[in-house]
Amino acid sequence: MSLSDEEILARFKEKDGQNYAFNLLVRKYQQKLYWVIRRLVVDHDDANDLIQNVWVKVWQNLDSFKAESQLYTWLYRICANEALTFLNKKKKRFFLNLEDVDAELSEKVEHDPAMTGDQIEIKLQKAIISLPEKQRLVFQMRYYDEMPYEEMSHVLNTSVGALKASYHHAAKKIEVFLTTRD
Amino acid sequence: MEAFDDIKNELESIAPMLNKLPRTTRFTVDEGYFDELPTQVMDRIHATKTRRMFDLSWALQPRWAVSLAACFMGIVFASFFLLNRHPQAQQLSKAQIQQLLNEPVTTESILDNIDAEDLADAMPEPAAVAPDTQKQNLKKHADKKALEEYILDNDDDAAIIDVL
Repeated sequence: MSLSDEEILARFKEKDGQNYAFNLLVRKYQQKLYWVIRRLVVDHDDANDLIQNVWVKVWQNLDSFKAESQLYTWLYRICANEALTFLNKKKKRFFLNLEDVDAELSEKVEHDPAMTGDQIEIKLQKAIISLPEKQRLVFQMRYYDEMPYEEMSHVLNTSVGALKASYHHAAKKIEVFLTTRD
Repeated sequence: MEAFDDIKNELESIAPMLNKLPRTTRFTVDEGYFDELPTQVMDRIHATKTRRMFDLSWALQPRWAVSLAACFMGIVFASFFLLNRHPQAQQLSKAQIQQLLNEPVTTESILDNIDAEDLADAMPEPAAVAPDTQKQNLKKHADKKALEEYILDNDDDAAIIDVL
């Protein structure tokens, strides 16, 4: 049974309908949101932990969600913040600079048994990891999630012009990475 | 709303090679993962609710911690003050009181019960005597007791030798 976001929210506000409505919401968006995080953090265990944290936050704050933006946009923003915060903490915790964290993620991409695909696709993932965090997120939102710039602007609270520039830079860098590196 | 074609055309103009690649990530998950995830999520939510009920982290907040510490110290000091305000006087038995009354009052017994500081305060200030005058007096009288006292009071070997 597939309900609209408005119906799910209305059901969630009912005293006896919370668990059922929330279950529907999780099943509706879990895969999309999981992959948003997984592409950023690479490791499944990390992604699994983070996605569950996201849903806990959604549960705690869904009552106060105002329909000023789309529900999916709001969920996406929580995911993005959770993943970026995780990467920043990881960087600080191990006293690594960003390049070292990226090297670690690049290694995971290369040697992860849960990673299939030929060399060019592995290379693409390494190229994406080499991007600065926020630029990586912008690229993934546009390239994989095919998100319009206006929606990206709501998620990241950044202007459309800045997002376009960021995406263009990211795509060009990846192209160079793919064509020049072995 | 942008169409998918618009996004593809955009990428074709920026990175044509990238545009040719399939838009799939090659990450995978175990079979059944997404079937189990909603249950795991609800379990975590319930665990978080339970943890919040017993969460005393608020007590570790600086403001609360300082207030609690201040209250605790106040209780400790108040208890200490109240307990020592009326120290339990040594309860003397009737026999002990009688014994004290029967004891002769001597100078030694008085001196034994007077605080040394109080006694010192009561003593007249010794007359200020210049060191040289003091030496002359010692020489003049050659009193053994006075000599001993002088030696005990002075570290100056030269002065002692001088007196001797």
